[in-house]
Amino acid sequence: MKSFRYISANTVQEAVALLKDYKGNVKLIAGGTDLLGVLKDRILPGYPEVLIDIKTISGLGDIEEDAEGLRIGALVKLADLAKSPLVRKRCNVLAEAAEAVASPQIRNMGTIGGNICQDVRCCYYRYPDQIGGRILCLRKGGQKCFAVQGDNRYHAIFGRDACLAVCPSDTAIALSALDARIKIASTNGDRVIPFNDFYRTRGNVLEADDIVTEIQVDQVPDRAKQKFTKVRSRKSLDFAIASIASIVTVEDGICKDARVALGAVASRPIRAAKAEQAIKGEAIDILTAGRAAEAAIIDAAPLSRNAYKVEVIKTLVKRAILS
Amino acid sequence: MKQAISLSVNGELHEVDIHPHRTLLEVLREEIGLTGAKEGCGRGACGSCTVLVDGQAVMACMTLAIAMVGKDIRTVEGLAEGQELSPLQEAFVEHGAIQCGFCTPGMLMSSKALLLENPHPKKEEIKKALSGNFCRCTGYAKIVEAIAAVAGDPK
Amino acid sequence: MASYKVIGKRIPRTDGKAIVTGAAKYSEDFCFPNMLYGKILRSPYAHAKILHIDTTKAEKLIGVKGIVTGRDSSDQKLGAHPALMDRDPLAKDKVRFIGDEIAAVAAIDKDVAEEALSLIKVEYEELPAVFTPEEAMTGDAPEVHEKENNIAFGFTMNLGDEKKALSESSIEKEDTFIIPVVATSALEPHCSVALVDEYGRLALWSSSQVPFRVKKDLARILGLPEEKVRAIKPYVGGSFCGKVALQSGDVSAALLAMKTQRPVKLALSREEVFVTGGSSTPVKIAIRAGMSKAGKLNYFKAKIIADNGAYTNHSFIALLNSAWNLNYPYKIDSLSYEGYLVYTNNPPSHVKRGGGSPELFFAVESLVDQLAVEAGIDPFDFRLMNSIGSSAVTLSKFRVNSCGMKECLTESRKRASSPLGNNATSSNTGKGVACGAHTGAGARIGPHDSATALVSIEDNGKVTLWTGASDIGQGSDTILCQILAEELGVGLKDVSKVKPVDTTIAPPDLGTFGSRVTFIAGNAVRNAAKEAKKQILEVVAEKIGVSPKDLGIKDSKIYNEASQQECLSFPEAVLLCYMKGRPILARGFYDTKTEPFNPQTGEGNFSGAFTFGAQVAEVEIDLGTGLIEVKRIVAAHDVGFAINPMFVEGQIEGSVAMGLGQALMEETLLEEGRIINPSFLDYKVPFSMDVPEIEPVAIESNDPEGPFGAKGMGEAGAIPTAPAIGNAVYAVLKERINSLPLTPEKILKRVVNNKDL
Repeated sequence: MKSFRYISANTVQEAVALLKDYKGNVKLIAGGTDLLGVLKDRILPGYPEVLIDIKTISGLGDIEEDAEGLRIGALVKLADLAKSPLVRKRCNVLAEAAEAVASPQIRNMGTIGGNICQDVRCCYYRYPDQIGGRILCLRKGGQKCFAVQGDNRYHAIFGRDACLAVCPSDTAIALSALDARIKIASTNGDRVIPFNDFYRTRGNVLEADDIVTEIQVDQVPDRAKQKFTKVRSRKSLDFAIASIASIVTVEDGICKDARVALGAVASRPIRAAKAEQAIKGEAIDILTAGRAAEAAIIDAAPLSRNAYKVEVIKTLVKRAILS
Repeated sequence: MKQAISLSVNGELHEVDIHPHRTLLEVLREEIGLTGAKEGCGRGACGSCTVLVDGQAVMACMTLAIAMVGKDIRTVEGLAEGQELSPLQEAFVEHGAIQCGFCTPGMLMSSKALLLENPHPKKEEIKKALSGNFCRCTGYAKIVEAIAAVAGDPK
Repeated sequence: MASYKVIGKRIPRTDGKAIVTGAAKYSEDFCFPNMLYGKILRSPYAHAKILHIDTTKAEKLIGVKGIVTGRDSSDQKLGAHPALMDRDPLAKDKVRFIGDEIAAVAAIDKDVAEEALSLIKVEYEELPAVFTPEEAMTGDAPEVHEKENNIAFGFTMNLGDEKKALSESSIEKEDTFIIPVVATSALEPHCSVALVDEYGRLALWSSSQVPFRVKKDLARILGLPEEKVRAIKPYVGGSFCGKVALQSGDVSAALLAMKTQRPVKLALSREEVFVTGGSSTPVKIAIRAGMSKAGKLNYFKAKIIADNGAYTNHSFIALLNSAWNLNYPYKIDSLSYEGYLVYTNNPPSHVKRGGGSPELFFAVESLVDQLAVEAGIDPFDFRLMNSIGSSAVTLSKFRVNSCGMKECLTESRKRASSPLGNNATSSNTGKGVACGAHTGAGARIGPHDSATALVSIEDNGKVTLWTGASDIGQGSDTILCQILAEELGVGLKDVSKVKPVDTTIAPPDLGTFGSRVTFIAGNAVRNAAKEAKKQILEVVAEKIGVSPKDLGIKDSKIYNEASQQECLSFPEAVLLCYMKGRPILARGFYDTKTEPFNPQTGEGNFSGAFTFGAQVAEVEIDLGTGLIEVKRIVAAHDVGFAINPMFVEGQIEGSVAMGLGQALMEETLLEEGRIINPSFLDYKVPFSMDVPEIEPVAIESNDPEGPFGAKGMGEAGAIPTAPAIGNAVYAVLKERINSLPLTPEKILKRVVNNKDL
């Protein structure tokens, strides 16, 4: 790949200051499993002058518990997240999501911060700058979204946003269902925002000198059933065709609470609010599950080749509720 | 701007002078002369570059060498004890787990990482540990069989 | 039943240690002093004239040591067939696909080489392009080469008695199948390392199945006498037909080495391998078959349109195979065939493991399954009653000397969990069976299809095998040593093969393709062993005053056949040969007893043996997500004789996994000539958790001509898998899917439309 300057940061303050100084010309590197692919393929017209390694910042790689739940450092590896007894006890749906990412090697390298911030995986967007040259699609400032008339089987069924690429992160779907919070550091100090406000229609809300430092998750009540399911063409090293994170509380056959997040269907995790409303307070049976499934996809606007995703989502919602 | 760094590979320190954008895979192969780890895709999607860093299986092609200072790096060349193959290596040979052999170093390192953490893995756990290592020749059957045969001996 | 000492045994690779220690060297592992790194500049256009190439800026870049373009290459073309030599190693006047090679740079490191490519200025005049064979065959499509209707190669054949076949066919079925491109995806990308050695020879280390062909073609293209070119095949990380010819990268590396007088290493990236490093030939197969009410198959009638892409590599073999394969494994009275290999501006098609057979049999076995259903006959019984047996001669006059087709069917049926057909255990599980057949002994596509072997024995009794046979991972080096040891009567530990294959040292061999090595090189080695044995026994016989016919060799001892008395140890006998001035140097040669296939007549027994197989796939379909879970595959294959049962299993397991990938998930996606998924993330090859339990079964039909009865079977396992899975999917959905891969999208479309599911 092309060269860059490499700086390893020792503190968050140092890192955000460097981000501000090199504004636009700089990238953070944690696990590197997404960034190095982007750089090697030169998919973007620009190329960073500097890489700031944040793996050397101590204090961002721990999982701590408090009265409400867990505080997960942004540098916690996906493998550690998946096998952490704390995560499994407090919010197992997140452990399941982390376990579903990629491959053992990538889970050993990749961090939760990197996983939620990773760039989209549309094959047109990701086309390498080799053999025909990079594809200058709408997301990169070009004129055209190639997925509209091209192969859009893995693209969004919700939101006719200008870019049809889906959010590729598995942990993001679990965090959405968990109503997690995300702590962001910048040169102006720290702030905590709801995780469900983290994504925009294109990318996320991080400014040029922002770094994700922590994910805060409230404990899931013991009586809730939580599950993450990822539907994909092959069983490893594959992004989702569709996924679901569900946290459903049923007592005496009645749904007390439902949190359902859908993945790989939009540019962000989609909370299936209509489906949640359809079953809250209702008796759980095949009929109500079916109604919830229909409610989940009522706003779906599939593209020319991904109507099948609508069926998959219906199936996932039904199964999440009935399990 | 090149930087002089020291990398610990298979228990030995190597002084190399490298640009920051060089990957661990490139440095192992081209600067240190350890060609066991292979480049099958260069994008972390085939596992043929798998090495151990602090006991964890990682993709060397997606790792910057400069970030590996102070880490314990292990490659396939470090598995044998002198001229003696390790039980894991022997098992790969005995069970026909090798055909073209290009995936073998990566498979061995992923297996080694598994056995270090879980000395008695079940077949499904073995398959999962290998799920980032592509093999086009064997269909994985005899690789899984070889590892199952040594499960119990993490050497 | 013969009892063997070395063959028929599960013996590990003799060179396993080199591989598990990382010591085995593949092309990219070689480093030479002063070595440069090469990179290729490729066309961004699918079809364009090259008006001008300006390399001046690139040449001035510090670290660039040499640049070559089409001007530096002769007019000699690349190509696998004398009538289809259509590709310049570096494009001269026109580019014909996105990725077409235009120039190559050698620089002090890869980064400089990469930067140099961006400084080469090429002026193009873009031309209209064509991307489907149907469009290309219309009279007014853009001309890819100067060929009428863009047809690179085509032929028809009408064999047998069509009238009789039609009259006896009260039931007929036809269907059309579309099988897209799959990438060979060998794990090792192509790599060429070239240098001019101290003897003034151009030496090339190349990741190749065919070092002798590489040598010949490279000499021709470089305008050098053959003895001035040395091709070396080191360890090869798989190829599956993707490395079965001289590559453009080989030529570029050689040209740069000659220009710079420094070693040049040119490795393709994975993206480049997807585009130029080997793929199947995509086909549309329209096929019709007729049978009697009682279920006797009478005829096949097929039309195949194959997308050749921009240049012809071995895609013509895929077309030939699509005709050959209609000859077996069923006995039919009539065969009508029409096939076209059509140029388009897509990347060049090749063949992948199975040489077109997997694609053809997906169509045939899906149709045969439909016929079995129509006839109300169990799918195994239907195939059994229509199968050929040994000593069959097919309509194209292929002589099937050994045929284990029926045994493959019976054995796979026995081992499948429960009966097929409508006896599914639940509404979303089902089983399917499919057959396949292929050459098991190469294919005569040139003037000969031979192998030569030499055996030399040192005065301490150590035996050395010299052969150009190319082990690309299938273990042929080991089994050839097994054959040698068995025939000679010595232990495997006393036999070694000269490695790597180096064309200046090894006797000639056409290479590895068409499953030819076991049969052809195996026979050559066996013949060399027989000759060596003869030489030894003649000397010993003279010494002890008996006829050589009275002596034999076993367990490394010379013994009297009649008395079973030991005369001498093998090393003693060999030493005696030296002392008598007759050191052992034995030659073995083998060429198949075959004829070239004549597309004009549709006849010609092109292969020395054929291999057959049957597979049963047990599937479970998640009707809510469309995902197909293959629970188990039983794969029974006729191998003639298993020289090494462990290797045979490995070939079956590996090729079934490949067939599974083609069935469920693999597809090279092309849009306007561009491959939009050139990575292992977007091109989905199966990983460990995707491959189910496979039960490999070796059926031994004992071929009369094969070495110890063995036939080649390195490709056979990749053939029946997709149709077996397809037929299992039918058992669940009661609907056929006529294109591959069988994706959730396709399953759900049918589920949604079928209220019964």
